[in-house]
Amino acid sequence: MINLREWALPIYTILMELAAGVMFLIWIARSLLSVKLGKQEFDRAIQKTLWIILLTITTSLAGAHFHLSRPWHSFFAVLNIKDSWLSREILFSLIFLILTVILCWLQLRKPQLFGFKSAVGWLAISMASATIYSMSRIYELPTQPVWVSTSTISTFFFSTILLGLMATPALLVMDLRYSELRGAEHARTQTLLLRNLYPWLVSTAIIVTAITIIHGLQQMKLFSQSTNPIIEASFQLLTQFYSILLSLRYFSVIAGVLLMVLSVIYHNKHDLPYNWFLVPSYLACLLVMIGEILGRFLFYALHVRIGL
Amino acid sequence: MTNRKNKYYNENMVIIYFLDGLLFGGVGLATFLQIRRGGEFSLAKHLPWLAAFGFIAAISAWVDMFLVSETSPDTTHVLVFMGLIFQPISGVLLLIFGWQILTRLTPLPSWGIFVPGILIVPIAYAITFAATTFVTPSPIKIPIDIWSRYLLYLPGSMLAGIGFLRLWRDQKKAGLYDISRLMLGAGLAFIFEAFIVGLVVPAAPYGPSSYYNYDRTLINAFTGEKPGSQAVFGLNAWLDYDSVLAVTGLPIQIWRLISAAIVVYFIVRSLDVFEAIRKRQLAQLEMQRDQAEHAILVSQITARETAESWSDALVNISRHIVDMDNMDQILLYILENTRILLKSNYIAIALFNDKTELLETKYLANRFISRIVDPPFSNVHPAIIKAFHARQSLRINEFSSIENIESLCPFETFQPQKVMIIPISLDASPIGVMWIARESLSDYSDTDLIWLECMADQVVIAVKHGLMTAQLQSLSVVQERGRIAREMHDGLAQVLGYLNVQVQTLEAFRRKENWSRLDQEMQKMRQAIQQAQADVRENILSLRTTLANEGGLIQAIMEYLDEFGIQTGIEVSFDNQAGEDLGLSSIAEVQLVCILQESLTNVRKHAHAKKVSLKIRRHQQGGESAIRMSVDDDGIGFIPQLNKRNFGLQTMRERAQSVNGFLVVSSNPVKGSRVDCILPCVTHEQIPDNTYPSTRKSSEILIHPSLEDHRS
Repeated sequence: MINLREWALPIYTILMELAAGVMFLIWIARSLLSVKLGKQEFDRAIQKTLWIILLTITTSLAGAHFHLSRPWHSFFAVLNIKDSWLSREILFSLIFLILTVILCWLQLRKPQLFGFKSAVGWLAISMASATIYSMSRIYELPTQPVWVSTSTISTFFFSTILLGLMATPALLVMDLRYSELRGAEHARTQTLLLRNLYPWLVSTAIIVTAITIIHGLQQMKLFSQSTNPIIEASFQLLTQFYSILLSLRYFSVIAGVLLMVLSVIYHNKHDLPYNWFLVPSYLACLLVMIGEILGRFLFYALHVRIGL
Repeated sequence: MTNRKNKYYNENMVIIYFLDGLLFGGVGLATFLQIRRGGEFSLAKHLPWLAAFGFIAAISAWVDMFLVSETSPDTTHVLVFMGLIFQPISGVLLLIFGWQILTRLTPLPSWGIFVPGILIVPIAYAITFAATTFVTPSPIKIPIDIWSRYLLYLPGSMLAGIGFLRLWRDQKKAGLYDISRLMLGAGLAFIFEAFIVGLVVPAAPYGPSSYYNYDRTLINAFTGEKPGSQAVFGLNAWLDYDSVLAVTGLPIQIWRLISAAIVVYFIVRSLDVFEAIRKRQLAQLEMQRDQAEHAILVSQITARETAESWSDALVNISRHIVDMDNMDQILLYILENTRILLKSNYIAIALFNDKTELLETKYLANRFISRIVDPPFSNVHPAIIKAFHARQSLRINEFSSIENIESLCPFETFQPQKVMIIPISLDASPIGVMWIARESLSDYSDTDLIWLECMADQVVIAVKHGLMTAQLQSLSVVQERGRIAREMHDGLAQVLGYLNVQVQTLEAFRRKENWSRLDQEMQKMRQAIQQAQADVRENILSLRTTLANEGGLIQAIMEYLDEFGIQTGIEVSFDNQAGEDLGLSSIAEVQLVCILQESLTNVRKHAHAKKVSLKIRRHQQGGESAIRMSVDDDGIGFIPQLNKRNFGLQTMRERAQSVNGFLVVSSNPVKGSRVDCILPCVTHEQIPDNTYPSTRKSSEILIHPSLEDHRS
């Protein structure tokens, strides 16, 4: 059973993955659509999303301190960067944070530097990816056999992408609704962005969810065939004691993605405005997030290797 | 002491739960009844959720009531299951009610859109954490109870409380203090409820508020720690059922009962507000209905008055036209009436001059005067010329694209703000333009344009009648000239025939040398020639008189009388008391002159008079006037049946009747004769009934009372 103190870890990892996932998807969309929609207009349309990414990174780093017995000693961890994945994780996450701050500042003060902002953004994404990678490498502990696997790394990245796929449309729709209430000019750009982006996000979410489920089932099959007693014990715990939570984990993710798909179908059928997606995208994101948090809980509580 | 208290309250818990359920059931029922009655208060739309919450919470409380009383194990299982179902359902209903109260009744600030987004992570974590606690070794009722309170009752009551507080603020701003006080009470009651019901939870092996207060003989299910250990970050259990009883002396169930009573009180009182609002709305509706009815009545009256005014104007115009009044007067009458009815400052008519090929303003009317523009003003505004050529009505309510606005209303000093221009066409040919302008800022409506076009049609009719009248007058003159020519021809032919016979008679007498008879016949011939000469002179005079006299009718009559006096040697006197303008129609003037000529001819031929007097008077009766022309002579008079003047009198009578007048002829063999011709003026003034009868037969001859006076 997870120590209540250790809930800080799921908070940190999920939030960091969320920030990285949203940043990654927004920047891909920026590269593909900024010319079509207008560079300045696109950057204005995603300005608040960048601020929310910054807030998420900050919250995750702050939350991470709560799982340490002496939080104020955390800064010394970066000194061990040659050997420690934890040090690297902290360093990369700090650089990610700083680059995001720079990006937000550039957006406010130097909006015309489109190319420079692009470079900073891609650098931030690479730091975010490095953070996620370092985060996953931390769990390659010889004492935890179920964690020692490349599946851990892939699972963390799948989780990052899935959270990004669900959180990005929710954020953009919220921002669109806000812009419409304020009568902002870039509401039109945001609508066009959603119109171009939404179908791709939904399609990709379906694929990633399918990959995640298949991956998970494959790992469960491997566990069931393993002769390692620790892995056997973890597998039994998973399938017996935490079977309900496991079912709830997958049910929640599938329900979230299904809700997103159905909302798109309904929206296209009735030709509704894009701000109609506010409630469905929010609920879909909430369901997937519950599923991912449950999966992370099971990962920590059961020391099971794959992201269940 | 605490144990005694516990025992006492446990024994009476049935009553507490019963009252709890009664309160919530009461609020559910009261809300349901209010829903059925309806109401326009903004809260009304959200009452169904409150009613449902009341009913389900009552059932949940009564389930607890039955659970604390002694029941069989099977019944207990059913009751527990019912409790597991109804408690979260009532929490969901309260959450929905609270959400709607907060978000729907008063608009939230725009940044509120992001609040759910920011809270999505804590909400997801809370739900996930709640889900994980279900696998801990504790009865399932406890996590359901705890998480219903934390995740449903707490936020639901908080949202409802904040929502009512926002309503309090708005109602206070609107000055509805009675309602605002109730909203404040309801808001505070719900916040208290959030604390008591949502935050104080049963003991459990997980936080946040009931840390380490589970059965202390067990190990903490999460940490594996034994009882007596310190909680994380120094937190000890401080908000559980035991600590509430220890601090306040009352179990949490009583506090919840008190909280429920307070909420129910304010909710039920708030529902009373509906009645007050309904009465207020009813009174307002009645007032609005009365105002609307009054406004409709006023507008109907106004519309009727307007229609009547227009109808009167059109009828009067038509009357003037039918009476063949002077065309200029008719047009000025049209202009003045149109200006008044359309509440305007200026109106004018410009007619197209074929010779100069220019539009010339000929008639205008303003607040002070309506007049003929003489000489006509040819500097017409381009917009008017454009409307004339385009043959399209134009309504100008905004002058940004029009230059030289002042010249739209020549001879005026005010700045026109609104103008309408109507082209006038006669038999599909444009003949002119009529335009109207006002200084006020109220636009001309579509109805105004229609009325103006109607008046333009009247202008066309007036012009047409004017042309016809002129033609008629010319025709009358031509006919009269023809008659005179025929008379001259007949008279001269007769005289020449007579003279031819007389010459033969003279020759016969000469041959017979009957010189005395010759002289007699020659005298007769001389008389006949003189008579013929007088007739010819008179006919020539008549011809000259019936030609258009530039000096007017009176001048023509005076000249005729002078010439008559010279030709005949009869003393003529003329007394005109009707003024230069007799107010007769053109045809009536022609007939008047002809009657005068015939009368004087009769005087010359038959009366053997020495004096003849002509008097022209005006009579007024009942708003209508008439012209009375009296021809008096001091001749020998005549007896009608025996008189060869009958045919001439008949002609005169017919002339008078043709213009709605009549003739009165009176004669006294001693005193002379009198011919009175009464012709109506264009304003239809009637002749006093005591002077003349209203109708005359052709053969009727009366003794004129005034002639009696004259004779005396």
